[in-house]
Amino acid sequence: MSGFDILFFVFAGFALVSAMGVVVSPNPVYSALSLVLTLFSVAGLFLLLQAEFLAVVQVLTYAGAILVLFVFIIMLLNLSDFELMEVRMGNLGKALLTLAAVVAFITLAFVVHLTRITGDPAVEGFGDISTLGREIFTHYVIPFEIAGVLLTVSLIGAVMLAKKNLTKE
Amino acid sequence: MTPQLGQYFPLLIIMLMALVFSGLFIFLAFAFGPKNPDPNKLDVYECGVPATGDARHRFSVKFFIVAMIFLLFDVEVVFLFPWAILLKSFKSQGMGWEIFWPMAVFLGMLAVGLFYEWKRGALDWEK
Amino acid sequence: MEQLAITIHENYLWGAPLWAVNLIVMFGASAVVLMLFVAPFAGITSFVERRIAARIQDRIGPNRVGPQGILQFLADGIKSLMKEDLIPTDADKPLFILAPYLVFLGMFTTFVAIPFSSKLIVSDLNVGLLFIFATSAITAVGLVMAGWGSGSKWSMLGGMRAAAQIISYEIPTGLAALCVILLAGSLSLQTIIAGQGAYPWQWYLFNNPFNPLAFFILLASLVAEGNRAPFDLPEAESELVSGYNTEYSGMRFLFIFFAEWANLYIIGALVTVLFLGGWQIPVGVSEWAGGVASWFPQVLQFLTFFLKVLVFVFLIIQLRWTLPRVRMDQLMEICWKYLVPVAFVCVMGVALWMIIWPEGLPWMTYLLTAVAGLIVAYYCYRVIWQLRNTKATLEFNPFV
Repeated sequence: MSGFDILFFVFAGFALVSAMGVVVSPNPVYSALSLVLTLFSVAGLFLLLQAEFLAVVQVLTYAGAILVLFVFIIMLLNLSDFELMEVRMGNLGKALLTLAAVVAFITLAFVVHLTRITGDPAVEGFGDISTLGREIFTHYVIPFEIAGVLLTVSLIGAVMLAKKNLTKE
Repeated sequence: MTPQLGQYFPLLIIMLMALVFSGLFIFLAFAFGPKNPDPNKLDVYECGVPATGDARHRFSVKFFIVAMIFLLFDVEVVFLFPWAILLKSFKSQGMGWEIFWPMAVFLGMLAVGLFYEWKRGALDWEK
Repeated sequence: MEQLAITIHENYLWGAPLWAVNLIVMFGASAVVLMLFVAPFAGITSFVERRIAARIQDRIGPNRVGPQGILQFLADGIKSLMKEDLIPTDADKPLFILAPYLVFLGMFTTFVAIPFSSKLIVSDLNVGLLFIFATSAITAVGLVMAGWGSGSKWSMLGGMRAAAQIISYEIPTGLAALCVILLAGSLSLQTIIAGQGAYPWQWYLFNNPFNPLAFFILLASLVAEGNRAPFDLPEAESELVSGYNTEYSGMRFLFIFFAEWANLYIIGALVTVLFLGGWQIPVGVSEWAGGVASWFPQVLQFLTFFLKVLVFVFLIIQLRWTLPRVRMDQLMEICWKYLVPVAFVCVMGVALWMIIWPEGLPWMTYLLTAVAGLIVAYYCYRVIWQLRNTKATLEFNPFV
C-alpha cells in the first residue's frame, strides 16, 4: 500500500464518518460542523485526484456556505429546546423510510458499480486551472452563460422570498 | 507521488505541527494552572449579575439575505479565477476579445441581479 | 539535516522509506522555523501595537519588562500559561475546546504559501492565492464556533457578526485580487512577484488606473476580514465586552489573539505580494550581493519584503487607534454598495486595459507613481509632525 492509498483511506474514512455525523447528530449545529469536515475531506480526495483548483474552491466556498447554514440554524431553530429535533413518526413511517433508504443505497451502489473508474484524468492536465478554464471558455461557453442566468435567477429569487416574508410581518 | 501532489505534502506536516504546538501549550496551561472551579466563576459573563436565560435562543438575524447573496457571488467569483488566469495567454495569442465577451455577458447578467437587489432594498440593513 | 534524516530512518519509524523520512524532517524543520518566526512576530507586534496606541493617546504604554518593555509579550505569555483553564458550564464543551485550534490552524497553514524571498517559501502552490483565501475561511469557521460554543450572549452576537462580516468581505477581497491575477496570469505568489520589478513603477499597483483602486479595496476588505478596527464589530469592546472571545481565558484566549496578530503579517504580505513587488530588489544590487555570498541576495530580498510588510502592519495599527468603529449597517453597506460594485468595475477595467494596451501606458504608470509618491510624502510629514508635537515626555523618541 503506497502513501497515496493511505491518504485516500484517511480522507475517505473522515468523509464517511463525518457524513454519518451529519445525519445522526441530534444537534443541528453539530450536523453543520460535521458537514464542514465531510466537505474538507472530499477536498482532500480532489487533491489526490490532482484537481487542486477544485479542492481549494471546495474549501473556500463551502467554508462560507457552512457559515451561512450556521446563521440559518440559529435563526430558524430554537436550540434550547432539543425535542424539536426528534422525529415524531409512527412505526409504519419509519419502516417506509428505511425501505426507501435501502432502495436508494442499492441503486447508488449499482450505478457506482456500472461506472468504469480508470483514475486517469478526463482531459490531459485536467486539474490545472488554465486547462479547466480553457475548456469552460471555449467548448463550454453556452453552459457557462446558462450558469450565469441561473445565478441571476437565484439572486432575484432570494430577494423575492426574503422580501415577501418581511412584508407579511 | 506526483510532483503536483508533492506541493501539498508540507501542508499536511505543517497542519500537524500547528496542532501539536497549540495542543502542547494548551496542555501546559492546563497542567501548570491552578484548578479551583467555582459555580460563580464558571458561569457565563453577563457584566457581573447572574446570567439570565440561555444564549442559544432563536434570534433575528438581519443579514440572512446578505448571506444568500454571498453564496451566489462566491460561486461567481470562482468562475472569475480561471478566466483571469487565462486572459493573459489568450491576449498574447490575439484572442483577447474572444475570452472577454463571455465574461462580460456573464457579469452583465449578475450586475442586473445586483442592481435589482439594490432597488428592492435587499442590501439595506433591516430596521 | 540529511544526516538527521538518515539517523531517524535507520533507528526509528519502522522502516519508512528514506525519501519520506527526508521530507518529514525537512518540512518538520521548516514548520519549527516558521513557528520561531511567527510567534515572536505576533508577540512583538502586540507590544508595538500597545506602544503605538499609547503614543497616539498621549500615554506611555508598557515599558517595564525588558528594555523599553519589549519583553512584555513574554511576560504575558507566561502569565497566560499560569492561568486557570476555564470552561464555562454553559459552554458547548467540544466546540469551545476545538475553536482556538481551528483559528490557529487556519492562520498558521496560510504561511505555507507565503513567500519570504525568491527561494525562502515552504511550498509555492499553483493555487497559492486561492489557498490563502481558503485558509482564512477556516479561521472564520473557528471564530463562529467560538462564538456559539461559549454559550454567552456576548459571544453569540460576536460570532454572528463575525460570520456576516467575514463572508461579506470575502467577495471584494477576491475581486480586488483578480485585478492582479489578470496581469500576472497565475495564482502562484512567486509568479505574481516575478511579474513585477523592484522599482515602484514596475509594481502592479501603478500598472493602470484601476489597480490603485483595487489596492484600497483589498486593504480595506482584508482589514475587515481580520476583524480589525475600524471594522472590529465582532469584538467591539464598548458594546459586546469582547465578542466571540468573551468567555475565553488563559492559553485559549492567547491562541485566538495570537492568530489575530499573526494575521497582520498575512495582510501585509498579501498586499505586498500582489501590488508592491514582493521581495524584488534591483538587478544591480542583486548581482552585487550575489558576488559577496550566494545567500546574501536572499537576505536582502527577505529584508525588503519584511520592511514592506512592516509598513502595512504599522498602517493597520494606526488605523485601529485613529478611526472610530463603523456601525453594522454601515459595514454591510460599505461592502455591498461600494466595494463590490467598484471592484467589479476594476476587474473589467483591468481586462479591457490589458486588451487595448497590451504593453501598458508608460506615462500613466509614471503619473500614478508620482501621485502616490506625493501622498506617501505628505503622510510621512504628518506622522512626524504629530510625533514632534505630542506632549508626553518619553524615554524614547527618534524625532525629538
